[in-house]
Amino acid sequence: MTADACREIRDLAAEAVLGIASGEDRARLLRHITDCGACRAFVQEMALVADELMLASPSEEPPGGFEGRVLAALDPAPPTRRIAAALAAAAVLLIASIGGTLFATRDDRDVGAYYRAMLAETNGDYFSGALLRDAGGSERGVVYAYAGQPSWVLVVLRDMEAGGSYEVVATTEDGRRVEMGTASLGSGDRVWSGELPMELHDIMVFRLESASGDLVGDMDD
Amino acid sequence: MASRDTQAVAAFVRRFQGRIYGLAVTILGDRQAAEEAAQETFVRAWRHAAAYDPRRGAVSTWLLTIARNVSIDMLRVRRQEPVDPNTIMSMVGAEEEGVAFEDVDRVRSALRRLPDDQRRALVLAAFYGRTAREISELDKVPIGTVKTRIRTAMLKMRAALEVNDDR
Repeated sequence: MTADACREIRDLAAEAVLGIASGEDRARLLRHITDCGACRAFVQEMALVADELMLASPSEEPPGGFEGRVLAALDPAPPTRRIAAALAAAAVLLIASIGGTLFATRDDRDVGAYYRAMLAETNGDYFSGALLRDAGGSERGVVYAYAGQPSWVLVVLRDMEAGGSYEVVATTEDGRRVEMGTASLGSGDRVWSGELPMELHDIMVFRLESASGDLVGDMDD
Repeated sequence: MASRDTQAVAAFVRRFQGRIYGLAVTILGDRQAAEEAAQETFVRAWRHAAAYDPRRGAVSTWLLTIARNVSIDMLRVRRQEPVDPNTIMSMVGAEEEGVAFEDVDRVRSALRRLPDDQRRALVLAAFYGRTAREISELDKVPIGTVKTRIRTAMLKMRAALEVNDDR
């Protein structure tokens, strides 16, 4: 980086960290600090200054009942609702990662923050998933798995033709086979869920075994 | 705030509500809108609790930054008239009642030591989200002068607060 380039970026830093720089200037600054560690450190310091400035504002107690109104707005959901919310959010995130287009225009940080917040909300720490494919390689559904308290697995079939009675089995990276239950899918039910009796990060493959053929979800895909 | 315990959340709100509401009142100048902004601040903090990074500063600073952004967004939507400069200056000089906050005093002292024109430009930018162009039009000074005032003020604050990124 040239000294002139760094000087120009440092001149922009104050307005950028205060959130009043133009989009063009912010983009220029971000491009520069991606490759310039010294300027990146400078901008981080300026950002800390901007944060600390807020401490100068006076304190004033809000009107009575404020705390109760905040708690009502937060509406801490009971565990079952939280799990349902996590399922829905997890499904969206997985579809986004598999589909690759849904969030193409959305800021990655928003998605990441949403993901982390959702895991925090549900006391979870990890989420994963995989497409379920038949022997011919066609996509038949999706398996989602969530590490939390409790950990769970959710199977969703995409087409009714794949329906049938399946043994849901997880295979660990060291070859261990863990049977999780029987899923009757396709006759009106396209979703099966069950508790995950093992560490999610140990699982290499989810398999739905049936007489008419297996569906396989490879967690490393 | 990741705790699910309602009493803990209530205690958290009680601890910080004065600072959050106070900042929102300062920025918005409207107590009803400020309450709305303060409430939204806690909701966002709750939703994004996992994104809080202790290395970036204290919880109070993190919450205040959220409150600032929420309030400025509301201010822009409401297209309010420029703030009264006297309000800004009295804010910086105000004495805090009740518990003494060492960090609060430190920041206020540093702000008070700035020349008036630099402090005004910085406060308008930091607390009210005014751009250099807007401040230039408001105060009828060249935009380059405003940019220099903001930049110089920030560098002086950085030196006064001895900010470094190692903490």
